[in-house]
Amino acid sequence: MSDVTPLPPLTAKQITDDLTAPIFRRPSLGWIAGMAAAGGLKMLLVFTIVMYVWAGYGIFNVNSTVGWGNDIASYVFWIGIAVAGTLVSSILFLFRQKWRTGVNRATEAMTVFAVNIAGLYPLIHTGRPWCDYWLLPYPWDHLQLWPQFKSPIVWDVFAISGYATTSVLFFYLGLLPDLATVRDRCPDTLIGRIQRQVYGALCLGWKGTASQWRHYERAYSQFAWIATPLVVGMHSTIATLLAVSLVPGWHSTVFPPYFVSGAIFGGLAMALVLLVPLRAGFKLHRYITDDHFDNLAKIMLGVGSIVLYVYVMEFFTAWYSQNKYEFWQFFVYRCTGAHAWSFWLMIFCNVVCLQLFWFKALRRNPISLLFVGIAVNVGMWFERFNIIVLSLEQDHLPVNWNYYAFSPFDYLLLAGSFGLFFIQFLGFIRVAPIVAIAEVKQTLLHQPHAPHGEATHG
Amino acid sequence: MANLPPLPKTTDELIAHTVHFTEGIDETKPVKGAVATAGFFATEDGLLAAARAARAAGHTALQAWSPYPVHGLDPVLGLQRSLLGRPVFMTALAGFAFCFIGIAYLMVFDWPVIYAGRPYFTWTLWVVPMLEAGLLFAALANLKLCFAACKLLPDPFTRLPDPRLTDDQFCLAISAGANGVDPVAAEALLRSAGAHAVSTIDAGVASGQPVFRPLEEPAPAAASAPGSHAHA
Repeated sequence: MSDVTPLPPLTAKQITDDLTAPIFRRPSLGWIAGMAAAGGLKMLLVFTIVMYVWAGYGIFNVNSTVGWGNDIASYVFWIGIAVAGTLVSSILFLFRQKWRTGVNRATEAMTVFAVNIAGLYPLIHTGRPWCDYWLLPYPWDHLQLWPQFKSPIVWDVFAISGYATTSVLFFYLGLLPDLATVRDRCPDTLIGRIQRQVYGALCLGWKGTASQWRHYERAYSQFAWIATPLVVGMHSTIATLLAVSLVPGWHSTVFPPYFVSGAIFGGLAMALVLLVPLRAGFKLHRYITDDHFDNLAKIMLGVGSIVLYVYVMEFFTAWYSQNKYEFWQFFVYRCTGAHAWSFWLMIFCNVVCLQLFWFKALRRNPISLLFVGIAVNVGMWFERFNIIVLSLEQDHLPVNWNYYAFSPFDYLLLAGSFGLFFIQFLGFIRVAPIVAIAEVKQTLLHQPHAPHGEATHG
Repeated sequence: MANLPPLPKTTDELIAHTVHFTEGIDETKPVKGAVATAGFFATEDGLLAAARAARAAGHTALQAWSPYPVHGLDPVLGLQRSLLGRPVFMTALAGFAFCFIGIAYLMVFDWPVIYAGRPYFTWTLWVVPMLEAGLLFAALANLKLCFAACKLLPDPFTRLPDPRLTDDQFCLAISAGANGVDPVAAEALLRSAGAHAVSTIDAGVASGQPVFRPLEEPAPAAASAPGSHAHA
């Protein structure tokens, strides 16, 4: 935090005041405008779902060749965003990266909100969402069948539901002490007294005694151990779902690490898109510092380089294997085919724009961070589009070849999912501390004097 | 104070006793007067030093509040390392086993389906759902056990010795008035350890709920022993 030296050092009280202030003050015009925009977009989602239930799956443009279109591409996109939140909250915790405390609450919130939107897409994709409970091993009297546990699609059901549940639980556990802090700062007015009771109920009567902290810290670190394999396993499962098929462009063992690194890449880009305006709007410059952005950008550069490596290796293996279907898919169809523009847009966003992060000044500049964040989000959505749609459009049999284009409802669904995401995020930042108060205090105020690891590191 | 338990001897007893006097949930036995003397500190170092001093002076029934976990405090207070690890690990194993047995029953016995000529019992293909189920079980158990161990329940009326204990204050309470501990001596110890304020923690008679005094408000002399309500 070297860039804040001119200011007096932060005290615990200052931290509490700064981080709980947004909860008790009136919303700004910017927030109201953002909420109105997100609410408007969300109505598009509601409209699309109503139309879909009314008219059927035909309102989307998938066809018999390209059976997986916007639904699955956007599903993988949102799941990827969720992955990055767990990276910050769990994996960086296990690597003892103390700087994560500045951004972990926001990224965990991002995870929780992204994963529920991700879950929406496959539920829509089934075609009859009112029968979605058939995905679970539920005793079906009328069908007399069970899900096929040899299928990665069933693995995926388990992976998503397990991961979604765990990320919500982990998020809630992390919130407890901060909700207690909010509870104890509610003003002594009528509204304040109601707020105090609501937060008191939400924080489950958290007291912050030594006997509570020791269990809390143990449980927190165990959640990190539980969430890390879950998140890696979940996105690897999605990758396996594609890789076990024979479609050219999918049938590749590199898919699980490719998807996990791509997910972290895209998710951190979304974190930048959220954190840069959040820091400016709530004046959190002392908590979400340029160092935080610098670190996030460096991680993006690392995982983005892995993604670039996989882009290259996909072409290399297509050439080296001399498999003509793979060769056609990559060298001809993706580079020059009907959807070549989406491939080159992906390359521009994910590869070219990312190179800005080699420069330290650009890793610490809000404008360039926001630019690369948005670019990589676009690029990562098109990456999933390229993988899923372009491979399906031209498979082994030219007689099957077909073209996929968005229907108006595909656009509405995609835009609406962003609305639902931002409505949740904007709502959350007004009701709970968006920076983890207790963790930030521990990081900023703690003076080393005792051997660590007694209770924290289970 | 006759209904308070005697001075604890083992660590387990100490924990039970500490929880008893600080959390005061035992509504059936309202206790008159102060049950503990609480010293307030502005830093975690002050809290740690006071806890060491209290322990060195022979006090065993201690409790501490802090806005964030203070490392190194648990051994001083006599708190053992949290034992949440093994039950959660066992639950994860139970989740693996449950899922394995469940899938084996469904896929091999209840409704075996010929799937591309593969054998029915293909456990290697079940590893992913087993892993997911085991970790989900572990996550649920982890949260449930943490809540149980911390005695967390939705309680809109929780009161702390001072609301600033979730903000910037640290507190060490010595069970005084009970266990033969002299409140005056307890206060002197806390002050000499650097407490900037000393208060008493009472168990309310009328409500049956613990009533903690705010930091600045002087305690009435009747509620505690003479000399124990001096404030900074």
